[in-house]
Amino acid sequence: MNKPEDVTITYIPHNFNVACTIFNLSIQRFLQQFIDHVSFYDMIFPTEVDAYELATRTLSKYSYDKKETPDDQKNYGMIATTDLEGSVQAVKGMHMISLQTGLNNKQRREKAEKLVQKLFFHIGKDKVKSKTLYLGKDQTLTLSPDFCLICEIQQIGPVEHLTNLMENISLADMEARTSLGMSLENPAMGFYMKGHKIYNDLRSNEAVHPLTFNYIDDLQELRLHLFIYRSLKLRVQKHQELLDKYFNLITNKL
Amino acid sequence: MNLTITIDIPEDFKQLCDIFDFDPEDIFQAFANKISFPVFYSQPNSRHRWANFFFLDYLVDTCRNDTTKWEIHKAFMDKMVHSISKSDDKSEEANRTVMKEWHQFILNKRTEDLINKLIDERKN
Repeated sequence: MNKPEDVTITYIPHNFNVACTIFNLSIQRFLQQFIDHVSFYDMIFPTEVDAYELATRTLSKYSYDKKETPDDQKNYGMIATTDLEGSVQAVKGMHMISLQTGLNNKQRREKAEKLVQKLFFHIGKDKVKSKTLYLGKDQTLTLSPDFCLICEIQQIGPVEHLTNLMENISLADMEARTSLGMSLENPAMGFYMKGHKIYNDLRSNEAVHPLTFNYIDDLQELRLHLFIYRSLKLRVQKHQELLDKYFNLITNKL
Repeated sequence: MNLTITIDIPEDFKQLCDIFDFDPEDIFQAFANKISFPVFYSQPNSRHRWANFFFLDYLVDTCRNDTTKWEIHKAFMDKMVHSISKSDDKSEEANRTVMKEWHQFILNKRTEDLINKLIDERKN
């Protein structure tokens, strides 16, 4: 069956594939976890830096960076809503939730859920053609109302957002930048790194590949070996070589 | 060069030395003998690497929060990297030449800084 490009993910960036394969993360489950952590409430009322904040900021940052590109200015127009007054009331309702004392972030997000659904119900469906995305031949992703709503408000398609997430995940780049004190704002990588708890949920009962431990051993040595390498480009290259070596070993043996 | 040093021998280390009948001084000497950037970077998989990894770990750890500290050394580190990339039989020798230049540069720089500091103090 042919699927239109706006509901099908066909491109998996190599570095993202490596980052998932080395730690035995299912790409489908990782992307679904990301979608499920995007929160409209967090977008307008930022909370602490946690997986929700990082997932949401990944979308916000991409939208902001895209707006900075002159070629893209023309794509931002008015966002249609069938109930302007209702939409305003929904946002005001979220504001009230943010002011309530004695609630933790989880409770605030839960209370905002119905308001998000109401907002999404009234907003135009220009960018989100379907709540189901296809990943490869037989896997699917389900888009949450929060994710869909942000896509519509930012006028950026879900596949484009997820592609941006994947393109910003590179273990080699992160290792090199961190060790040289040249880190850049990268909430996508932050989301990837954030939770070992999320990883464990993602893996469920699947153990990491035994070669992953060899990778970690080699990585510890490489980090020290690269001390005299002060060039970002060279450090990225050396880390990429190590990652690719283990990626090839793991994928050949699976 | 002979150096007399005073070290507080931790209990666990002393225990191991007693069990295996080692003189702590011999272990420190063996460790020091193996620390060498020219050898480590020309033969990264040799048994010498463990002592050098320990040294590098100490080096990185002590300056973890100040990466700007390496700027002054960068030119010589780049030269070492260039020398390693050739990976020929003369790599160790080439690394030694770089280390000598590096060493001399740092000693000159420290002398210069010290003189400038003394001049400033006299002015004030």
